[in-house]
Amino acid sequence: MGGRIMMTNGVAISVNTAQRLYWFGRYVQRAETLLRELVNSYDYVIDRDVDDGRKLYAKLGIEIEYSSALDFLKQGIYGEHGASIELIITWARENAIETRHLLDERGFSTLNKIFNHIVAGRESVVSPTTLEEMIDDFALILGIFSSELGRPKAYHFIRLGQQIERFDLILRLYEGVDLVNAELEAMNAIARRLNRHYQPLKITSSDISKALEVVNGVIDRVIQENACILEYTDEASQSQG
Amino acid sequence: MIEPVSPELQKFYDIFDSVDKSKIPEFKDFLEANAVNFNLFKEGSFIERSFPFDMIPRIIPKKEFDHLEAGIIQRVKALNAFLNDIYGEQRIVKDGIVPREYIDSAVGFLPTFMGVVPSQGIRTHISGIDLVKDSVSGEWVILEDNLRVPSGVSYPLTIRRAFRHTYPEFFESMKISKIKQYGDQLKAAINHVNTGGLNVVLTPGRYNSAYYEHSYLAKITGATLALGEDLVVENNEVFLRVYNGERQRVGAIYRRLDDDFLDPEEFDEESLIGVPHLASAYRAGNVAIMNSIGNGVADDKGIYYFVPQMVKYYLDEEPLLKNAPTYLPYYEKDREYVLANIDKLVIKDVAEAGGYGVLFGNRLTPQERANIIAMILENPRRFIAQEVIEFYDLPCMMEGKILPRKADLRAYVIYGEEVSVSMGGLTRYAMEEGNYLVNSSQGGGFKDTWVVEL
Repeated sequence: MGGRIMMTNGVAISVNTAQRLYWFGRYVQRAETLLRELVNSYDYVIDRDVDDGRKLYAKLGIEIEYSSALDFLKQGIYGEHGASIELIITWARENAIETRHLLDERGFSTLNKIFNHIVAGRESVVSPTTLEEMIDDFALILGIFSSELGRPKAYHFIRLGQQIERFDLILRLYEGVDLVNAELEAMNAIARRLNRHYQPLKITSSDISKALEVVNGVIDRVIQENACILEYTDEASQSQG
Repeated sequence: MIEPVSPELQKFYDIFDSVDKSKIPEFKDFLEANAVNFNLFKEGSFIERSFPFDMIPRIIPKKEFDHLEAGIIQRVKALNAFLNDIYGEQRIVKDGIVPREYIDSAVGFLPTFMGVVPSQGIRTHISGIDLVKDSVSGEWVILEDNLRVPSGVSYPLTIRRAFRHTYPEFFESMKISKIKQYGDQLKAAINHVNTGGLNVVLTPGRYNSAYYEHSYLAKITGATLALGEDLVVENNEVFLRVYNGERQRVGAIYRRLDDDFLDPEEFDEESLIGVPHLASAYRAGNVAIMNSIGNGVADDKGIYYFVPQMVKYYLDEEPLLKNAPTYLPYYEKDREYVLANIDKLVIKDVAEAGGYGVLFGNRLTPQERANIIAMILENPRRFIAQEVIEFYDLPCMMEGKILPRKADLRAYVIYGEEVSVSMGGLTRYAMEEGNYLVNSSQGGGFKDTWVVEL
């Protein structure tokens, strides 16, 4: 055996784990935002515009049909489309299971309870009150991982995922390029803390699809699967900028 | 037969009578909310399954456990010495204690690792020793030594915390040995053999039955949880692929996958969950692998027969704990006995584990009986036979009633600078009355194990 090398303290984050944490943050944020939109739209469907739900999902490129306000909720939660809350929560949970050793236990169990509840309620009528409670639970989960004190590196990936998902939904639902641009520095700051070679981004076009491309491309500048420290040169880091 | 009530268990019942029973379902809620799972594969499908839990703990009086602890430590030391010997000089074979055929034909014996000296000379870093309490003699009997990848320790550790939160009354009034130091002990044992670099828990991934445990152990030891694809071997050193493109050296790997899957270059070339060339890094002494490669030779069911002799041979001590009475059809005298008494014996295929490959002679049809006899005659080394141990049932709460169920105990042993036994363990019970197979993979449940001093 060669000479002993100093043991490294602390947890290192692998490529897989970093991606899982990032997507956990994205799906939790997506579930929370879409639940809020769903409950808001539910009231609109009852009070103002029966097509409000269809319009909401059309912004996400999804066509849905419903026969009543409650049926609209059912479609939002269990419908066979990519924005189904059941599906998003399942993905959030899958990512949480694979990273639970780095997650706060309360945050994990809160998500898991929501998942169990959603799965158990598949054959029942969806209650708006229950959905409002779920929104509170998601806010609790997001709050845990946003806490400022003693935040480990793993949580930065979750926050990065949250932030990018927020921007993505702002762009898709409200076409808010200016709003995203105004807050972009917060995302750049998290990305820079995770990877010192990260170059800050700006959105220079008002085109929504280009803005989406920029925002969703951030993670590829933070997580670098194929690089190696021995090959990591200034030239390499500049080419990522 | 149910185990007689000890004064320690009586104390539990006295407190149990006065506690709020409406809180009992909280354990199930806790396990479900936290996805404390022991997953199963059934008919090709992955089933996420909470590990069934019974709240009545197995209670072992402290004095009784002290004896168990001493016997288990003695046994694990002997097994570690045996492994070092088998992959070294093989004195125990040369001295005629263990027949060479038993080593050479053991599935877990890996001759290509002869001469490899593991970090600190430790091979049995984490052992799970399975015991039952014989209702005839009242003595503890060793059923099996698990020296490869024993699982289960996370379940009592997890539930103990929930128990303390739900029913603090027991912990206030009873002197129950603590088990929470297991994480620190395990971490110290990993550090002890670390050759410089990160500590890693290597998992096959989320669809492994014990994935919850892998994740839990990484958390309590502060190790990095990694998949095979997260690790890379270069110049016989192991590195973790870090997310930012850097690579960090790995000094110790607590692997939670079998030898067969550990390194596709060395073992099963179709393994997708291993790390290519990991065995070479281990041979070069650049990484500690816990438990060591090739340990399967020592927990082979055929080798089990020789463990009491190993204790005498390596430690010059009398074994403190007994094996179940075991016969090796390999020996002519034993073979004659087995064939003449097959109806009252348990026949075990040495290549199987997890409750598979176990046949109870009294339940065989004439055809099955003839088949097994033919197989024993054809390949006597493949089987062992044991007297049926009438081990105690334990009281279990089922559907609101207390019912007897067969139960064993898995004791967890950490071999670091010292050898220590966790002051509790995993008690597994069978779901059906009269069933002797308590294995988690056979659908059994678990209890906490309390070592209690009055």
